[in-house]
Order: sequence, then structure tokens, then C-alpha cells
Amino acid sequence: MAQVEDAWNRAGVVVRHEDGRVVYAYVAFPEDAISGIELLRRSGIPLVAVGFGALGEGVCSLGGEGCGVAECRQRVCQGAGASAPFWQYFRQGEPGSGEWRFLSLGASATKVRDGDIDGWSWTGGDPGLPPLTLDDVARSAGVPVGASTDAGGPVPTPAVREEVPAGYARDGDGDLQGWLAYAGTGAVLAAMAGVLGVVVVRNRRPRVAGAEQAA
Amino acid sequence: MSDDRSSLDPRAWLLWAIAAGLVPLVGRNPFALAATLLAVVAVRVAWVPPGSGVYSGVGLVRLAAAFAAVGVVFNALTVHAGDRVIARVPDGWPVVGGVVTVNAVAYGVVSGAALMILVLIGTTMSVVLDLASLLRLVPGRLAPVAVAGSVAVAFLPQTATALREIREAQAARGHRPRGARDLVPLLVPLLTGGLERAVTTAEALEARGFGAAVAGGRTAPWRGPVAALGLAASVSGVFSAITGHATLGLVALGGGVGLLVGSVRDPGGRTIARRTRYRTPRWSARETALALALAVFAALVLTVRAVDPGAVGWEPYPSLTVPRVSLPLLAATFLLLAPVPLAPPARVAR
Repeated sequence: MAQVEDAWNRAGVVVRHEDGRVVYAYVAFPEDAISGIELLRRSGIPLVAVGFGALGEGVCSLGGEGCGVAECRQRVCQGAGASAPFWQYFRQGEPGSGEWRFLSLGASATKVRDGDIDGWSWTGGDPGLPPLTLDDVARSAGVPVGASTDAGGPVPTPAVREEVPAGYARDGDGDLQGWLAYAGTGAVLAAMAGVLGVVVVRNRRPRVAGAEQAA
Repeated sequence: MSDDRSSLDPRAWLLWAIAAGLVPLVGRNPFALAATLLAVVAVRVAWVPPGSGVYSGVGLVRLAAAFAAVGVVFNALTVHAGDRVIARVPDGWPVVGGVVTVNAVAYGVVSGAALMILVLIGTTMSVVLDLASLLRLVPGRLAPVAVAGSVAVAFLPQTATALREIREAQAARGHRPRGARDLVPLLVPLLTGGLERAVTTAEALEARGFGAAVAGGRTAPWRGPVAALGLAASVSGVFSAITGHATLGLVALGGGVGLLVGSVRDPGGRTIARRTRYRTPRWSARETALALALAVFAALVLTVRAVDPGAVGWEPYPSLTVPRVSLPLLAATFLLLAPVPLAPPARVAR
């Protein structure tokens, strides 16, 4: 490895979103090898994955893009048509070659070793990932060139950075609606509960009347 | 169930069940689910007699707790995602290993609520509809299949009753089961009794001409292949729709259902035994009004889902967020209450 020389193994993750954003993560790990899903988890990129038993975990959402858990359980976010996008998992052959190979076994079954770069792309076919070396990933993730860490210290914090295409406009933060909408919701639910209360009282009345007559 | 004005046409109840089941089937929005739950419980309280055994408020709370618990445990142990970690199961444990998050617990609670709504709809239907009224809705050519199905459905409660009676009879003789071997005096009479009931039912059906051809009637040779083709197209359509090919799936399903209906229709009425009815169900103006209200509700749910999926669904992953709301959708949930004013004033189980 040219970037740093210490006791840790390091690997890179590149995530390409549909809107052109690319996220780079540079992760250090003490083990000889970890799984692709563990690398994603340690990278700190927001991840939603569900388990498929012995088949391992399927990636539903990365960085907020993907599908819901219920849909993911059904078909791992794959929509209609052969070219419908979903989170596809790739690994680069030779560093910097740009030959990204699709890994059909899934991220739970792969082994990530020192120097590997995993690629994730929300696509229906072409990965659209750039040719990269681990140094490129480290630089893009914001790790200073030549940075080193103490071999006896804790595992270095993963570095993550997002590159957005020119002219990219981010959506507004969150989907929180105005208080009026939630006040209206409360009113509707209270009215519904009121109807239920009226029905319960109406249904109990004959039995009470019967009891009074008996008394 | 009697067919006076204290009941609704079974087709109207089926429409209500489909409409009420839409929200829990297509989404997990807690607000929409809460409104649907309140509407379903109101209809249930209005129509299900207090003494019928499925009314109890405590029972409903227990049912809710059970379903919520199942939803929470399943979701929390199988979905290891979310930003609010509360515990960690060792990674080496298959399937359940990983972090347990508040996000997964929250999603489990709403999934449990959705499941409970569906169960409430089903149990309500089982009380307000009887098997005979449903059987009457089946086309004449499929009547033998429907009768066989109803016999199969009735088998479980009959077996449960028989087991209880056998257990009481054996207990009166001093029998107290302590292990697997002691179950033989219970299971053998249960098996022989079941076989005896099956033979008796078969003889009774045969004595009533079950499945017999009408003299002089002829079955067109094309019916069998067309029915098989229709069935294959329907199953393929459902599979295509589930796997994401909605348009192709709906076309195949529509064509398949059309072929099936065509193959079972019997305009002349000569190839099957004519069915008679003591009372014919009446579709009156109130059933029409109910159907219209439910159709409006269903159309609104599907429209809102297409335009603003977040108003019907909710994903607490990777961050726990406040669910979106759709006031038109919530207001439309009042349409699910349409059967309430049609309920008789007081219903006490007989």
C-alpha cells in the first residue's frame, strides 16, 4: 500500500447513486478479511440491510437511496423490467483498471482483504463506477496523503466523503410537514375515537336497561 | 344469518373487507393504520353481538399485545438497521445476530398493528357472514368445489369439539394423560370418529345427488382446457404482478379470470343441477351506497399511494423520522364506518 504503512488492513468503498452523487469511504480493519457487508457497516455510510437466512444479507438502502424493508424482503428492491435499478455489488479487478465485476454471491459471502475496493451502484446494468486505486479512494474520502496511525492505538475512524455532480441540487432536509397537518391528524383520529365511543355506549345500553329492569 | 334488513348483503361485506384491508396491505403509515384500526373496531363493535365470544375489549387488547409482540420480536431480530441502537446480539448467531434498534422495534409495532387489523377484519367477517351465504355467491358450476371446501373448513371445529368430548369421557373413566403414551386413548377414538364422520358426510352428499350429472345434460368439451388455461393465466398474472411486472400481470390476470368465468358459465342451465334458495339475498339502495363509499375510499388510497407514497407507507430506516400524513386519506377513512349506521340498534348473541 502506498498511502499508509501501519498494522491495519485497509479497503475502499465507492457508492454511486442514481443522481450522480458518488460516496467514497476508506476503512481500516484489524482482521485479515471481513465480509463486504461488514465493510459497508464499518464505513459509516447509512445502510439498511435485511437478512435472508443462509443466503446472507441483502442491501435495501444505501445513503438513503433504495427501497423499504417490506419491498426489499420480496425482491431486494428490483423493480419491473430487466433494466430496473437496484443496489448492485461490484469489485474492481486490477487496481485502477476500471474493470468492475458484478459479484452475484452477495456482500455477506465475499471476503474483503487489504487493498480491495468494493463498488456499489444503483443501476440496472452498467456499474458507472470510475477506475480507482486505493490511493484515489483515500484522497477522495479526505484522508491526507502520507497519513499514518499508531499501530498500537485504536482502529482509525473510517473516512467518508460525498462528491456531488456540478449543478446538483439537494432536496430539502426531511419530510416533516407543518404542525397544521399533524393537528388535523389528531383531530381526525379524535373524531374517529369519538365515533367508536358512541358505538360502544350504544351497544351497551340495552344490557344496562335490562339489568335495571331485573333489579 | 337471516336475510332480513338487520343484515347486509354478503357481497357488500366482502367489499368492506377488501377496502378495510387496503391500508394495512399496501403501507405501514402509523397514522393511516390508527385511523383504519379505529374504523374497523367501530364496525366490529356495532355489528358483532356482545355475547358472541369475539367482542371482549380485554380480548382485543390481548390480541393487540400478542400481535405487537410478534411483530416487534421478528422485526427487531431480523432487521439490523437504524441509527438508534439499543442492544447487540452476537454476530455469530445465525439470522438474529447483529444490532437491535429502536427503528426496527418501531417498525415491528406498526407491522403488528397492520397484522391485527387484518385479523380483526377476518374475525368480524366470520361473525357477520355465514358459510352458506358465501357458498351462494359461487357460480353453479363450481358449487361441488365450494361444498367440498366448506366441508373441509368445518372439519377443524368439528375435530376440536370431538377431542374435547373424548377427553371429558376419558377423564370420567379416570384417564389422566401424563406422557405421549397416554395420548393413545385420546387419538385413536378421534381418528376413528373422524373417519366415521367423513363416511357419513359422503353418504349424505351422495344421497342428495352431490356431483351427479343432470339427465340429458352435456358438458362442452372445450370447458376443461379453457378452465385450465384461465387458471394458468391467472396464477401467472398474480406472479407477474408480485414480481414487479404490474401491467403484464394485470392483463394476464384479467384474461385468466375472463376465461375461468367463461368456462364455468352455464347459460342454459342444463348441464348442472339447478340450485334452489330459501331466501335470495337482496342488493338494495343501502348496499349500493355502501359500495360507492368503499369504492371512493379504495380509489383514494391507491391515488394517494401513487402520488405520495410516504402518506401510506413509512420507513424508519436508516433514521427514525416522523411519518408523513395525508389529511384527505385520513378523512376518507370515515367512509369505512359506512356499515355502522346500518347496524341494528342492539344485537345480543343468542
